[in-house]
Amino acid sequence: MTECTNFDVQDLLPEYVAELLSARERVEVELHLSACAACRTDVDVLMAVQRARPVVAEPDVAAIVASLPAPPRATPESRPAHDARPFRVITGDLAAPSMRTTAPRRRTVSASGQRSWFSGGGMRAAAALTLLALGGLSVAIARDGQRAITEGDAQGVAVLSDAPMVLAEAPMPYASDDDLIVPVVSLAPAVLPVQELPDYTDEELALLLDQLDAWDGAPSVDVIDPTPPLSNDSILQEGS
Amino acid sequence: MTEADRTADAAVDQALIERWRGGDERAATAIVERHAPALARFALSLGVRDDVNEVVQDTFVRAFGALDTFRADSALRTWLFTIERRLVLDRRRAARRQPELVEVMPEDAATGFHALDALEADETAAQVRDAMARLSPMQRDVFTLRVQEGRAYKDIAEILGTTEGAARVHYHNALRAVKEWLHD
Repeated sequence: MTECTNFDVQDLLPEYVAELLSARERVEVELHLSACAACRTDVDVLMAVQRARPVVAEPDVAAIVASLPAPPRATPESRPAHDARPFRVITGDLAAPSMRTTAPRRRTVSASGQRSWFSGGGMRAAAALTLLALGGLSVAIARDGQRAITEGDAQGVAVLSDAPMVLAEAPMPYASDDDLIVPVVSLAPAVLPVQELPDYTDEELALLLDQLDAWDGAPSVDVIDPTPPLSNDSILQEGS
Repeated sequence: MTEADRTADAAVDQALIERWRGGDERAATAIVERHAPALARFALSLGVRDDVNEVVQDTFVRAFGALDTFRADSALRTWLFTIERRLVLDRRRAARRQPELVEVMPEDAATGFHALDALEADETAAQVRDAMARLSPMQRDVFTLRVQEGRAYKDIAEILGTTEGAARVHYHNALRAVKEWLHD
């Protein structure tokens, strides 16, 4: 039998056998398998190994948890492990379009007619500044390619980089107080150093917002739409 | 597991850890439920027979005692596997130092994990296990983590204290050997 030299596909075979590939990868592997006897043999062996995976009894979770140290910040009000109230883990794939709102971006305008820094746009701008500060002084270039970068620019941006990133528990119509909602990353508006923001014009701010929108990994403060939650069972399928 | 699955999985684990650090003990239950079955399987593949439950429990005790040192750039399960493997090696070393205290009879080894191993009677599964038993310990660990636990080479290298390249070589050598023994 001819040895296969497609090492990329060979690397994917264990995940193919475990049915962990994306649809695109699965098609790629199956196309290759249709023409490669060596890899078909490997798949047969890997399937046999996968089927021989030991079956284990359900672990005694209560006994294990009882033996664990107490949480570092446990207080009398902390919920104990044996709390009977439900504890659902709701996951959301931020990359999935269905989990992102399609509602138009809100622009809050204050009584004086100026856009509030606490509006969605203001928070995005702060996030953009933070991001750009981490990447260096390119923010100044984004603002004004003609003007030299001054020490004041750098200091203003450096202050913004201290804006904390937090895990936020967004309000979700189907979630109770006991639900753990992950992962939603946003800025904490109450502690933004608003007074330190540079004096951007509307045009400059719009440019920053557009750059942020074009950045795929931008932190989001968008509300997640009420897609039904995943249950613990579905999460635990992988581990069983 | 796709990269998106890994990312979502890591996010859930990280959020649960933060919950536990914040005093919510129920997060510990969720973490144990998510990872205990995989730890039990890995303990079996490491050759643990008569005290799998104890090994799994000790792994969690060690892990929760050192959660402050856990770095989020590593998957929690990878870190737990690393701890469990070190624990098993420590126990083996300790057992070698006190051989007179350990006399395991065949019937002592019968545990719930064995009793529930319905595949024991399956001839093909038995052949596979025989073949895997003939692998070197490193080949077997790599092969088990790659095929039966679906871990990436990067994770395997971290768990076993080797490099991704070496793990890849061990995997391919193990696959070739198992294939030959099964077809003999």
